[in-house]
Amino acid sequence: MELFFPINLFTNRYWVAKPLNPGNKGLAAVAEQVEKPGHDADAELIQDFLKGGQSSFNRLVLKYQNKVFNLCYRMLGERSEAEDVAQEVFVTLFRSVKHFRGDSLFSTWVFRITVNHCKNRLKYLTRRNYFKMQSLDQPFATEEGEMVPDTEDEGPTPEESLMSREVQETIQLKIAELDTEHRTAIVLRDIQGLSYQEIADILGVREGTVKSRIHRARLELKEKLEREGKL
Amino acid sequence: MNCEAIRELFSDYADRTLAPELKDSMEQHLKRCPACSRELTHFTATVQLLTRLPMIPAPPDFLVSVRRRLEQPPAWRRFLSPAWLLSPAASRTWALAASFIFVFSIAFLIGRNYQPGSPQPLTVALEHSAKVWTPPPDPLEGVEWRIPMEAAAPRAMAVSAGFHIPDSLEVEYAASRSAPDGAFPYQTPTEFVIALLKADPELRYADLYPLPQGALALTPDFLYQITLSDAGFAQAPQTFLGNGHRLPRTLGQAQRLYGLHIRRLASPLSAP
Repeated sequence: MELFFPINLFTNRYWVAKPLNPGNKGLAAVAEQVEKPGHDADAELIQDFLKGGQSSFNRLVLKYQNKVFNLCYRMLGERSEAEDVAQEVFVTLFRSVKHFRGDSLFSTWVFRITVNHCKNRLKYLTRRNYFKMQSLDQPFATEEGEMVPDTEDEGPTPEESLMSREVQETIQLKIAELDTEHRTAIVLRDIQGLSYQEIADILGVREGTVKSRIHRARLELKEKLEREGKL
Repeated sequence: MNCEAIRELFSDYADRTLAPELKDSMEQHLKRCPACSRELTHFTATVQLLTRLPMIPAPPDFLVSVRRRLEQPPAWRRFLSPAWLLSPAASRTWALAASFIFVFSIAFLIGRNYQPGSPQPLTVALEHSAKVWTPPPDPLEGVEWRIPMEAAAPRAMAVSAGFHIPDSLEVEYAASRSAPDGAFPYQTPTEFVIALLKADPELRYADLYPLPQGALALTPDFLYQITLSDAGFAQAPQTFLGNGHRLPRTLGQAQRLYGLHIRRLASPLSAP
């Protein structure tokens, strides 16, 4: 049995389900901790951080920075924006870890914050017309004359990755063409490798919804890649 | 199962979460349906491409950047720091704020003392002037109206119905344009008299009232009744052409040249 009551108005969780006896979680909680060993370590780090241990926050950052940055990069498709958003995510984490109630996994909570930040930034950038298509072959006019766009050399070299850079860039472009819901679902599932249940927790929707979103997104992406001739 | 239903199972197949009996029926369908098997190949290839995308690691100094960002004060506190308060951006903001405050305070100070004027002083003034001011005598009292019967021609009818009074530029233009073809541009004494009046800089802006043989010109000082007899008008073209299609500059000259009959009365507009 659960009671619903309002919590912090400044987070996006206005109402949470609170168990009647939060202290006594019983065997289920123990089983959960055994089942998910990452949870326990995070909880210890969080407790230590709340007591004032700054190094535990550093450890949390180091633990999650690659996952968060990768998620941001795949969502936004832009290295500098991804870095900015990832930093914002950890600043938000730093300021609001005290509101983390342990209802879900800490990683789920981190990803939820990341996804929300990315969605906000996408909305902001779309409003600013940031994603206006710029062809990489067509020269564009500048004050000094016409120039051909020069792509930034970033990311791992072709030797490091199994895929050619061209294919990677095409996939990233095609992901960026999906709408936000589909993009979020497919990035969380196929790039971050999370389970349907975790994604449902992160997005706050039912598992069936997640499943259908991922299926639609994959079909759409397949269509796009077929059209590009990358399959 | 039809193709559509089979294709709905692709995601489960790629995730290896398909129930065994569904998987069997799917494989049977794929053996018979090359389109679906090609679709499935492409679908799994897409998923594999996605899963094999390399992990892009965070930049090596990421933790340092986060730490630096955490040490930055929040935005609202940054605006209170002395560094910002002394910056040029701040001084611009101060100037703008000060000008707004100045304008609004002036408006407030003026506005709070403003009271819409009561109608009392106006009525007093009206009463006062009503006592002093007496209606002027009828300006046309002594005027001899000589309206010839033959003036009831179409042209005169037009004059009485509503006569177009040209301005001085039009008059000058009409006079100068008449030079090449050598014609006299005025059809009636009224038109001619009005042209003469418009040529005089002192009477140019007078109120003109066309009369059958001339016009009344009302100025702040005088009321002129200017008429030209038919005999005078008959002589007028000759004089006009002799003067090289130029109108005289003053009404005095016009009187001498064309024999105008001018009466000057006190204007009803002048103070008694």
